[in-house]
Amino acid sequence: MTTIKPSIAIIDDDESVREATTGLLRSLGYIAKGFASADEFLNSNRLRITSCLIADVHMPGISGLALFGQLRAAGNPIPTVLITAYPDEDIRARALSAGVSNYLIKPFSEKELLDSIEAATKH
Amino acid sequence: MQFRPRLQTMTQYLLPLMAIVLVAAIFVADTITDLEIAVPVFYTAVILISVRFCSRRGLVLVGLGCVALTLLSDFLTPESSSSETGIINTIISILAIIATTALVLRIDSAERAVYDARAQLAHVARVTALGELTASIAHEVNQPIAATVINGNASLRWLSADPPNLDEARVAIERIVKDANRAADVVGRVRKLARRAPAQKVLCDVNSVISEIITLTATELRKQYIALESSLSGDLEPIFADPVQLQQVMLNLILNSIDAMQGMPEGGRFLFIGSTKADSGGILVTVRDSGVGFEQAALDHIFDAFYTTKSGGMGLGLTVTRSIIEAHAGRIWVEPNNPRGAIFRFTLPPVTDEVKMPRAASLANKA
Repeated sequence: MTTIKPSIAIIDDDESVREATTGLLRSLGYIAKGFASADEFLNSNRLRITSCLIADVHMPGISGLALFGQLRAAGNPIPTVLITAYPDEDIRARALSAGVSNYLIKPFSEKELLDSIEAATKH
Repeated sequence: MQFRPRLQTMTQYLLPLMAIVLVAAIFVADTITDLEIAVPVFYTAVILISVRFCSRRGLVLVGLGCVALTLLSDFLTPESSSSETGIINTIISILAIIATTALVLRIDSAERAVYDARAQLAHVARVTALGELTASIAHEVNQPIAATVINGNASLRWLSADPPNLDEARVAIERIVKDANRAADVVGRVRKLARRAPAQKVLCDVNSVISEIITLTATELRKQYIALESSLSGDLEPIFADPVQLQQVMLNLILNSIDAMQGMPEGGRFLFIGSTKADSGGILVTVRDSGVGFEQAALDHIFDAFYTTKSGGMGLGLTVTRSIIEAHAGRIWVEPNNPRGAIFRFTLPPVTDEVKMPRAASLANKA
């Protein structure tokens, strides 16, 4: 693991989850920034420096999975951990086969989140 | 549920007065006249009037009182009562009084059974409607719980840092409190709707009833890509209504619109919810969608029980909706939306001076 913690973007339309996750990652020394939608993230200057995405599956506009696909198609496949409050086996299978690092169901534990981020950013 | 006509001031005082006057008249006629007819039979009219304002026990007492007065009359006029006709008349009268009391009590309990069954049906319909929201309600509760777990972890991290970052920990803990309240609010909203409580009319603000249901269904609307626009008039007077039943009406209409818009393209699902003053005084609520709408033939039947255009529907939602509105002395109707969809509108009457009086209000709730 590198000594400089990676920069992480949290994309979730739910303000509570977004702020909480951002706060937790900052408490662990990550550079973390929250976005309310995929569009907000895509239009930000964070696109290039983000080394890991934590994105909600169900969001108005572009979904977490669609965002991952879009970034990969554009040649910028940011390692992504999807989070969801609507567990769906089909979406999970589709996401993992598309190359998403992990699919976490809310509420997830700190360890699950950290392990996923570590696995996502290791490569 | 309140399907019985409410007690009005008139029936509160006028009917008992009528009954007393009638009792006195019959008693006097029976005692002082010597007619060859069974005058006390007319006591049955007293019983029929009493059913409008008496409890079951009261009715039994009225019946017994009538029998006692019949016997008292005979006692006061021994010469005419001892005749054969007199005795037969007395027996006929007493039998008539007892039979009438018994029948009235049976009819009353049958009516009660109907009201109870309707209330149960309304409750079942309400819980069924809530059932359609299960996934989004679970989501609604899950989000703040997820945030609470994460914030808890974050505050532990901030506290165990060296030196501890108390400011950051405080922020995380404040979020925990906020999220716990948010989850409790969701549960509270659902529990209020799921509870089987007797109908209770209170002065209530229609806009807050509507807002509550909009909040409850917001996640579902978002999940279904439905754009919601609401326009709630700021100068509505409170009305006299059962807030849970009005919420049920709003929930049914919104769920109906959600279903109607399921087949529409994602950019074409619009729901409008509005409240304004009605021309007749009172309040007019509008729920307009851009769904499939109804065929002209269906428009005449959509409020009928077991009439449904949905594959999985029971055909009870709109029936219950209408009976609730009617129990509130309101009116509900549907018209086609342009270019497509349906517009449901209902009115609720303004508060009359009568029900503003707390006594009348509490009596009305017992009806």
